[in-house]
Amino acid sequence: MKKLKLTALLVTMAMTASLAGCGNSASEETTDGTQSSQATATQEAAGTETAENHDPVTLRFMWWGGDERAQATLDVIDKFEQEYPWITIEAEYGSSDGYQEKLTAQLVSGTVADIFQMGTGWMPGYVESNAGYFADFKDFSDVFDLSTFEESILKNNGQFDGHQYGVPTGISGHALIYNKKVADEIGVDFSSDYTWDDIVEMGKKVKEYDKDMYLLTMGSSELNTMIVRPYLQQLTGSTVLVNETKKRGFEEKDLVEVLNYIKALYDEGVASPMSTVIAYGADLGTDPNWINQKYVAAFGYSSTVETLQAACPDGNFAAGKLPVMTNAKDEGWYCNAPQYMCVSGASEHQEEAMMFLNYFYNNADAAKILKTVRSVPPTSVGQEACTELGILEGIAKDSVDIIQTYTGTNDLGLTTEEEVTAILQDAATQVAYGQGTPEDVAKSTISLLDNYLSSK
Amino acid sequence: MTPKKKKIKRKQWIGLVFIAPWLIGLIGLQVYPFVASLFYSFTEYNIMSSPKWIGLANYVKLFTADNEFWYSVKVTLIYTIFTVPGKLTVALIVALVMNKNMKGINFIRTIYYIPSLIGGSIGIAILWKLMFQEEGIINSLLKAIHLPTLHWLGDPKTALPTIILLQLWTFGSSFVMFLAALKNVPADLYEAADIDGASSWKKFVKITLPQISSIIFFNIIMQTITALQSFTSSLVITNGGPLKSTYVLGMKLYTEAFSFYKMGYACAISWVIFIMIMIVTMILFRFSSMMVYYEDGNDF
Repeated sequence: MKKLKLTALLVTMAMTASLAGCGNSASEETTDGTQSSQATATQEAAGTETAENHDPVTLRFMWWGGDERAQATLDVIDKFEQEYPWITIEAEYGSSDGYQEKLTAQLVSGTVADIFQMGTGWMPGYVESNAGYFADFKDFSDVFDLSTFEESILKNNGQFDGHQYGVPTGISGHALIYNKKVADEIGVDFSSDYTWDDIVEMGKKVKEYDKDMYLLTMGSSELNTMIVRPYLQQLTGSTVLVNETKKRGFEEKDLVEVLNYIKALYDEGVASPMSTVIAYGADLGTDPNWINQKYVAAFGYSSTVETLQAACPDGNFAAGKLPVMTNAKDEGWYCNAPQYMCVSGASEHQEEAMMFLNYFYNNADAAKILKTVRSVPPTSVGQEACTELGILEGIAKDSVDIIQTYTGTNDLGLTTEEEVTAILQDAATQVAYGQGTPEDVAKSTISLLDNYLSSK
Repeated sequence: MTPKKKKIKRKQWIGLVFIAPWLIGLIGLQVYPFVASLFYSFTEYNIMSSPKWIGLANYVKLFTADNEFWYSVKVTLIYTIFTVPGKLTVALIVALVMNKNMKGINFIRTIYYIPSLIGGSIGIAILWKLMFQEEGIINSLLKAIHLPTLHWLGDPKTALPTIILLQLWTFGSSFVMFLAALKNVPADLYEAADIDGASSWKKFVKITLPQISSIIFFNIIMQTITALQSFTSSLVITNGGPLKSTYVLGMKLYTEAFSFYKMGYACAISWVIFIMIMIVTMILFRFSSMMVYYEDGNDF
């Protein structure tokens, strides 16, 4: 019997051993999951004068995205290679799964591609640990034309201490989509300026009109990105966490105010109950209440409004403005980018890499191939090309136009770190569920944030 | 060395070659991570920079400063306390029913095992999520018979019970073991009891349960270990929410490691889970003499 016990104990150990190893597995993964395909070399077709004056250069270009984006990008690479026969571009592409882990490993080991696509939320962390990972676009103004970008877009996207370490691949941002026909019937309006308090008043109107309807729907992630962050920023004039000082940009009373506001949204029945919405996660459009036009408006992103619109074919939707409080110290809303393009600081051919990206962004033919595979193009060249093709219209473009009118400060950095996002989102969700008073939640949230900041 | 000995040596070597795939897997995927995770649990490590030795700081933080950890321990224990007895009871009842000799019994047994073949997987978790959604089949059924509907997965009060319910349903492996054990109970014991005029309940309590007690014990241990490590259903069905009501230790470990990139901290958590499981298992073994009936009087 003792032997049996021993065996059982050993089995126990073996089973738990596999779990104990769990937390470690990512550190060992140095896998190269993406497809690596050599773009067809067109060098032999060269024979032009230019080719003879240059030594052949091979560049690696890494990005993530779906098939449509991959095909368009490969086509642009082909065209570029025809015009610059001495440059060969090797494409490395795949899905976004594991992209960041791979990028991190490559940056750290100095084996990153010459040109690579970068997530907006990750970039501040990388720049902080080593700005030398990136080449500054401003150092290459003779080959890369930055003048086709709006100055404010560049400033908010990829610029660190005046260095342009990345350029945005497109323009996107927070958005509000609303059912115009229903809104007109009830008498609420999102097309002119309004405040956070106006939302509550509008919500009451909706309740009077039909007690089963709600003015607004949003998931727990939007509670943070569309209320807590912009509200605090408008209130204090500072980002939630300040990257430079590594301190909080707000006081406890400010957070209490925001949480009280969120409480009011749910107590007054302005926002759809969290217990209903949470099941639909990030896909608010799959909520039957949205499809049945029980919600007047939804918070989302310029990249998701088309999905929301498509989910409810009977609706008549428009992009609305975003709430700004009276006497806001900062508008809180700003134009964002879906990703950045970067050139490796370790690359031996930075100039050629910049030449390629200049073609990628500023050549009309390239723009016509790329269309909107990385959202609405950020350059005047790209936008003109898309307008010419007649693909720059509809609700996504309208919401991008609206977000471009706001001049709030970009809060990318500490505020958007995963852990901080989780803390803020938990706080807002707790209040939305009616668990804990705003005062208590604010206290515990601040202690969590301070704890996080002290480790930075 | 005699030729015979040499031959044996050679044979052993060949044996090793044959089990090499498994052995390499064991060393590379189990032993190495096991040892390495112990080392990393004493470091601050975010993948980007090399690990920094911080001694016991991770463990100190875990036990003194991290309320969420204790909260996760609580959720995990509640989950375990309800799933293990629940699952075993269901498994035993089904096994008792399936122990009858009737036509097509093998087919029926197979059917009852199917949930376990596909259970515990992502697929079943997604199915469960769809069933218990706002407009899912469960709420539709409740509506059809005019009962009030619930926010099964959206309400912090009902989310954990819903996930526990999923576990009760995947009782297959315990069920198969119970069935095998029931088949092994000597028929003459029942015959003797029948002659003495024992009721069915008496027979169950006095004969069946003691005879299969070692299997019950084994199932309790295995299911407890699985329950304490639970992760998949929380991640897929509720992502630890709402309001962290299903935030089991496995979720906490995963989030610290792969959302926050605190690998050192996550390794420390995994070691605490490991030790916790060891302690629970040892406690269970301590009570084994009370639970398990051995015909040899437990002397060996």
